[in-house]
Amino acid sequence: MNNYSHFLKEAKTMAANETHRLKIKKAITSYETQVAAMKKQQFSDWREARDVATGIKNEVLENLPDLLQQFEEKLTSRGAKVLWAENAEQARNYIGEIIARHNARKVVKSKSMTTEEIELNEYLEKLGIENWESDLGELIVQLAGEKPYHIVTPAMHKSKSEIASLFVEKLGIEYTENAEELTMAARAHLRKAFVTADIGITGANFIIADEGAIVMTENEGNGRLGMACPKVHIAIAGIEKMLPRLADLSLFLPLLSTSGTGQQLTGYNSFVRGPQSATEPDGPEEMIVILLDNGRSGIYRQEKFQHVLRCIRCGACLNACPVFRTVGGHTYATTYQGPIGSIITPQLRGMGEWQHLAHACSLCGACTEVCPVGIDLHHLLLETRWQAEQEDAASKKWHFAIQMWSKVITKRKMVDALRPLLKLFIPVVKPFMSANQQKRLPEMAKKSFAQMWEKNEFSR
Amino acid sequence: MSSRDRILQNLQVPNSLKKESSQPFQDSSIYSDYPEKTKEELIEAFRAHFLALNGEFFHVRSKEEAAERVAELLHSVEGNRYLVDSNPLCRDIFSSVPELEKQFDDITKTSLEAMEFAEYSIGLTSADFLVARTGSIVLRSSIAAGRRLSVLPPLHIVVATVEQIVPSLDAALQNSEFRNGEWSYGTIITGPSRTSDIEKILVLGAHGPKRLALILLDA
Ligand code: SF4
Repeated sequence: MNNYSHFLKEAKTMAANETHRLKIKKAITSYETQVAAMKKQQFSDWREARDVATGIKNEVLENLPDLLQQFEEKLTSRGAKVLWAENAEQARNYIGEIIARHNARKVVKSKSMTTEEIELNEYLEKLGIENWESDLGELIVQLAGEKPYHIVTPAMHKSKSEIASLFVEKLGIEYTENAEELTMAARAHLRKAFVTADIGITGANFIIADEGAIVMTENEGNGRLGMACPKVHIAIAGIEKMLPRLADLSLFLPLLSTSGTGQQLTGYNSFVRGPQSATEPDGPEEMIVILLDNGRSGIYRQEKFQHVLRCIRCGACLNACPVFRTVGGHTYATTYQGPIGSIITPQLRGMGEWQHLAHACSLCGACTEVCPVGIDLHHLLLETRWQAEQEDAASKKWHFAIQMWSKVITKRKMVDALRPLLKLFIPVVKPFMSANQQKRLPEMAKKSFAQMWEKNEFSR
Repeated sequence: MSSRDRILQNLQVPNSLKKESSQPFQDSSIYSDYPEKTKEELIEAFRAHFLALNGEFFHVRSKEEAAERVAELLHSVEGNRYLVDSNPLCRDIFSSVPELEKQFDDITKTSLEAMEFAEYSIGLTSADFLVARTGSIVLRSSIAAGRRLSVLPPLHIVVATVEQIVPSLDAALQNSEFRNGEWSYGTIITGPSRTSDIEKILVLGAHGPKRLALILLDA
């Protein structure tokens, strides 16, 4: 089945799934209440904060090559390594080489969408490496054999009772629907992994040029443990994660946590500037940052799309999107779901295969409204449709047909002349159309509007 | 051509976006609750945020009083093995805790395995800054706590002085003394470890400390 028919099939099933809808509604309602309260509490003017953030991110785009080099220079001066990956395969191979060099058997991962993007889990499995997801949400989807449902809340679609049954089966605990007990079971399950893992793999929420640091945002502490215990720390960051100055975090951390989860600040925001230094008691011996392009420079070169690289992956546009809420995260079958995913997936993974995502949108603009870095999401979805039309050979014929059609339909006389023909045409296509229950052909009126108008049949 | 050069070359395309100013941005212009500058107000702002995050807050006048609070905290947990960072203030306070069978280990000589199996119940550290606006504690690995001490034990106690309170995050992050030096890791701690991954229900102590206590000392 291709991606498009998969989407159609899943969307149809999910839209009718009431249990799913209730779970998502509950989660997003609680999210929305917290976000609205935090925006009010924390910012004197949310829109001003958004504009300042947008300006800083534009500055980043303008100077990206310089900032990347500055970042590399600073970070390597403290003994860390920077590797540049043009695509997913190269990034995986880098990791494979590091694993081989250290003869590593066990990896502990913290939540990272870039590792999902390069399909690291599948790769590690092939290598026969023990791979522990340590974020609770990620652990839940890993145990269930699923992909993350949402870039920020990977297990949004799982109820307490589903998680309880999963833990009974996979972790061998007693059945409980108590969220605290379930969390403690995960904590106990993973503690050992942190202390015995050879390599810790994390993502990065930001990378800082003037400091040569990566920044990791989390609530649980699994990221901190993953960067503190194993001998090797690998961080994978998209090249667009850049901020010019460390002090910019003073805006971006509250912005991300407010939009992402409705918190003033996320529990732990850690910055790493290198491996353990000579004066420190602990830390990894080796730190490697993999800078991932994987199609981003292609987006960068397009004037119209460049500004999607401002995205800080807060997930707000997913939560706001009526399509996401209805069809659910898994229907997209992408790493990045919702509006932002529907724009970048066709760019990163091919227009032909993924352009249908841009059509799963009512252009309501709710995403654009909530985006903390002012990305004009709904217009870019429209732009994606346009681009797909331009590139698609099949659509050229369609274009020609539409052009011909519009020549006819815009001329009164032509329409009148064709009307009897149309009347004959309808009974022929009708059986085919009604096979598709979503749309039904209307009955043709006896007289056309124009005819009625001429005879003045509207007067009373 | 290396991958590095190819990626950089791919990014070398004239940018049509307008040049934006590169002024470091000022917190005070954005945040509604940017704290007032008197010391009392800063302490109060910090305290309110820290308590709202389920932190345990103790404001003390002297080292003796600090040692008493530490003693109470030690009594509140099981086990008697603790990790203490080598900051003189921390060592001082910890060693003046009265009549308690206590033993603290040097992080530099404690292996990871030992840290897991010995079940340390408390990590006691100093801090670099306390951020009033958010109730956060900023610390670096170079304050001799390293990376593990503040995250592995279930109770993290921080000892800091009122001088270390700054109004907002930008003050800490722009401090040149903070940024210089040989440290490799720093973290901004805002409340105890937490998760809401199960039906958005808040649970404390996901992987890091379940409890976070601050002993704030009048200098
Ligand atoms: S596009 Fe905007 S709202 Fe969506 S995830 Fe990115 S930053 Fe958040």
